Amino acid sequence: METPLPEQRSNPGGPSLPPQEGRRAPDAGRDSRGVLFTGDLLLALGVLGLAAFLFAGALNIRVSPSYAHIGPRFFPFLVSGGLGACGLALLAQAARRAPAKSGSLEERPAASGKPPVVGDAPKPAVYWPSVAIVAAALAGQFLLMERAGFVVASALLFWAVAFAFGSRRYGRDILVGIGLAFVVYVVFTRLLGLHLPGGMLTTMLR
Amino acid sequence: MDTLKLLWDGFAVAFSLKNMLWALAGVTLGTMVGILPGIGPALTVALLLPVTFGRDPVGSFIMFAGIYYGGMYGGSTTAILLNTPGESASIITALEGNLMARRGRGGAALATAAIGSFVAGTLATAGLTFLAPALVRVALRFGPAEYFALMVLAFTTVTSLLGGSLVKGLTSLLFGMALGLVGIDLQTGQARYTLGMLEMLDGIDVVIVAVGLFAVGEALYAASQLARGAPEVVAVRGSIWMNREEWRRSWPAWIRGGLLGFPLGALPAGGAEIPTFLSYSLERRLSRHRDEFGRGAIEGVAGPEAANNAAAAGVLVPLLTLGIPTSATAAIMLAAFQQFGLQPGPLLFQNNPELVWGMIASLYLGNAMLLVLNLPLVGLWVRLLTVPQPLLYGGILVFATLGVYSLSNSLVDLMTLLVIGLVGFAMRRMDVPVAPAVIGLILGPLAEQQLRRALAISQGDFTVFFTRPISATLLALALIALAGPALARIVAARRRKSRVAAM
Repeated sequence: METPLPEQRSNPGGPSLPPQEGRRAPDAGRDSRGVLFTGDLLLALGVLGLAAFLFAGALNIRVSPSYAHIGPRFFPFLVSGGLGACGLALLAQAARRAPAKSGSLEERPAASGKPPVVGDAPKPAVYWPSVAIVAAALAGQFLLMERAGFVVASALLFWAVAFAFGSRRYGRDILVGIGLAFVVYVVFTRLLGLHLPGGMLTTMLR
Repeated sequence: MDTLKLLWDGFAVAFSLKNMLWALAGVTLGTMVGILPGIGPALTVALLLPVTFGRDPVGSFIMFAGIYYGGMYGGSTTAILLNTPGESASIITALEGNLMARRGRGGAALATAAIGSFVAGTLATAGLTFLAPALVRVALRFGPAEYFALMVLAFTTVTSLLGGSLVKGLTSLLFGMALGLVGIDLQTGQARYTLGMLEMLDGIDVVIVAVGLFAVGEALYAASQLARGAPEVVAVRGSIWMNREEWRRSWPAWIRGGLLGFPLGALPAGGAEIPTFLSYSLERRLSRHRDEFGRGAIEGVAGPEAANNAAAAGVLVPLLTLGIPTSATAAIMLAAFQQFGLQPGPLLFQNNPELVWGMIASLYLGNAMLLVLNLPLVGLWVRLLTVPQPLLYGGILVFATLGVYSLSNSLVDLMTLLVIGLVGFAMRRMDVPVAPAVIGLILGPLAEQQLRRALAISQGDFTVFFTRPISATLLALALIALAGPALARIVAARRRKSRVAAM
């Protein structure tokens, strides 16, 4: 540990560090230009979709005929128009990056002599299982908050997120989660006077 | 010397025992979350908003100001010891500071960052004290057209200077503005984009969007990047005090950084990012130890860190005097003002001098507290860096859902949080900056209001924005901010081409 380590800052696609604390190591660096292109395309289409949605919604805003000045539709049209323009620009950028022509894409940024665009570098692969668990844990908080109460729901959220982040010390995690949720519950409801659903604790603490 | 009298009254407010405790709570919390990797002052203020609602506004804003300053100090510690800048403004600090830490001068790096933050922060707070009243006098003459032009300027600078891609910055800004459209139109009472849900009539709360983008989006992104492992913390070795040589090299850099950071932060010029970059290249040019840059030069920490803090104070100038936020944290602070039924701007200085000057005075006090918190006690904070990632993100998400739920005890808010968090993850993944979205959400509805007011006064005549001199100037500046970087690139490319041709 005494020797100065080489810089490890943001080396996308570089060798991943050895897994720690029972972490699984997905194959980072698998990403290629093709994946990047798909992402850009999806982003452009998403923005265009939002613009279309806003435009359609703006048409449905009722304007009272007696209102002479620019009404509640004007700004929505403006925003949807702006988003539409951005979407088209993103689409053009994505098309320029399309992985079609003769596989010479790796050389292109260097050859064209342009300053490298931020985000042009290939990104490390997404580890989807962890993302899905965190999202599901948040949906669980939504479903359980009022049914099971804040403490139970939050302890479960804490435990699930810790699991998604690679922790396998189930006992410690659930204890820390319950402790944290309980302290927060007491401080927020008793000291700060906020209302949180107590669930079964409402009867216990009385 | 009206200002000094007002500042004196402000100190009387700030030095009451209650408000000093608020300030201490603020700077402590700010330092704490500033150090935790992955969350910044914007998120902290957003999470605390529901808690302070219905309480004393003076104390709340003194605490928010403390969190704001504290987050800057804490962020530099993370950058130096962990080399993961929590915000874009500490990227430079991470550069040289982390190298210093690896060379065994981590203590000196932390010291020069903390003392530099104090020196520049105090300088800049003094700048705020004297610039703000002057700007208020100008702003009193602004009409809706000028305000709208000013907001357009803020939109363009924020999007063109933050992040790498102009199109992506604009997309983020417009996405925020689209979210801002949801709810009842203030002028006509028409419901817009509520999807038929009663809960949406009040609009989407900025807390939900900020927490969704900053906490949930960030957590999802971190979860997707597990393979990269946790970054390594560099232990602080050697003395935490600077030696004579390090003092001599640091103090001019602090002053220069402060002088660079404050005006650039006070102009609506995209927050603290630019001045830190400028300070770094300036120090590098002026240094007699240029060879040390890239291997841990102390000027490269002192200057940018001072510029960072001075710019943070500068951002408060347009926020307080004009009601224009130019950073995500400032946008949340503006939302906080709105929650208390206050609108920052020239009238705030007239109607709530106790609040404004109490807050400004508390900044001087907070800076002093932060120096104490961050120098002798830095060893304590460093321990926070060793909290395991699973527990850290578990805790962040518990607090995130708690803060959002307690806004109005509504499950719809929790669902919205998840949706916006997923959008935030996608933005993060696609390198779309999230800060413009928060600014657009807050500033969009205000801009719409001023636009429609201006056009109501002019009877629908759009030339009003170009015939009034201040408004026309501001719009011209906005155009320059938008087209300037692109033009500069074209000019540079052409010059390079002609040079190649000449050879």
